[in-house]
Amino acid sequence: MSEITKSLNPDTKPSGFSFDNAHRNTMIEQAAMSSNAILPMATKTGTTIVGLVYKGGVVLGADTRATGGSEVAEKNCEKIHYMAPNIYCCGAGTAADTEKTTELISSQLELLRMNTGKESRVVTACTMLKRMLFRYQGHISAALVLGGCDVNGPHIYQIYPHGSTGKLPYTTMGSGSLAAMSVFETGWTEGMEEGDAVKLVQRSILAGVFNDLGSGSNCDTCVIRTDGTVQYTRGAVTPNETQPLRDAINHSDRLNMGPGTTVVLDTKFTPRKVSLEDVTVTEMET
Amino acid sequence: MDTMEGATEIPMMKSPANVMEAGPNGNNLATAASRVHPVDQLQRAEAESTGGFLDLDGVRRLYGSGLAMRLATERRMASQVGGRLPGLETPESNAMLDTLTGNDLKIDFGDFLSRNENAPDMGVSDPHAAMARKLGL
Repeated sequence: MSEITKSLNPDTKPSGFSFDNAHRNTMIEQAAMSSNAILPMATKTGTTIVGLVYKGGVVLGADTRATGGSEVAEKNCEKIHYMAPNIYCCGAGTAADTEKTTELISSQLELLRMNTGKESRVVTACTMLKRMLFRYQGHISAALVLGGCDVNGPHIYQIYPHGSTGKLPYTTMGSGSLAAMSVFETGWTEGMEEGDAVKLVQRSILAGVFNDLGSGSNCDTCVIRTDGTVQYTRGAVTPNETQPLRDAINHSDRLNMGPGTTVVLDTKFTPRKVSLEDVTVTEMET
Repeated sequence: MDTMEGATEIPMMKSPANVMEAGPNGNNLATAASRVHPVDQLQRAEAESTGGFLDLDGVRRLYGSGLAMRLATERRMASQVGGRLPGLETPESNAMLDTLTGNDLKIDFGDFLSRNENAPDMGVSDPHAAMARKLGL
């Protein structure tokens, strides 16, 4: 901080987010606007994330594409994050924000579990998340679908980056949310069976994968049941396998040269001699 | 309260601008005015407040000024106990202060991001100045 305007001593600098580069960032933005340069973009998860409540618990689903601007940064990223043994959370928005936010709240829930000795409730996680997101006034770009089962039954919450929440029987978030919601609105009924619920979630994620550019690759699902069991299936549906395409490329055998391709005619080894007689010691004169 | 007073006091040059650290244009009023990020202000204000854990005015109205004074004295004593010299390697443990403010039950971004002991600064600038700051001289 400027030494002219405030004498902020280093002992009381607040820890947390560091804004030392805030001035540099504004300068870069202004320079980029004037010269039409391309700014580096934070990796986002333009995403399809969904959650629904069925007869015996909740099902969460997410796609696995992370984008940085218009290129795919990660083809198989994990968007369903662990919060508590009975609570999982899908995240859309800036990838680092969702990751760190869910990790932080997961730690806070663990502290609370140690303090109270009781199982975490989904509404507790929701309240902690919304308090934190509101405190940062939407600058933490994390849109979440929180789901889990506790003593009061199965719950699904949706949480927006500015801190507003909604408690719903089924919800979708992310850039592919409209495509996924159309599938939910047609297919969701109250008290579904687990097989039907998982199939509905997979169909809605595939709707997002195929109709939205920000979502793609595979579909992950997570089933959390009221009896406490969790089934997290990574790559439940993989409609975008790249291996068959890669195998179809013809690589010439002449590009694979293993050892022994060139015949060795003669070998000669000359060790380098270092003798101590070559070293002279000169005393330093002070 | 302190931030309000800081905002209206006349800007004074307290030491020569450290150009190596802040850059050629890093320490003038123009850049200081432009670099304010709303989250930065929130963070600083929050670091200086009690965090809502101790509403002394409310306690005074409900339970009397005696309890309010007792709680405030307890908190001030907790921040002074320990007696480590400032700026040394081992930071203060603040066990009593953490218990009183509820910090031992919380974990936040400030507990793992930009910690002062991990900062790449050169360490304590002047132990006499640090002690004078601590005593409020």
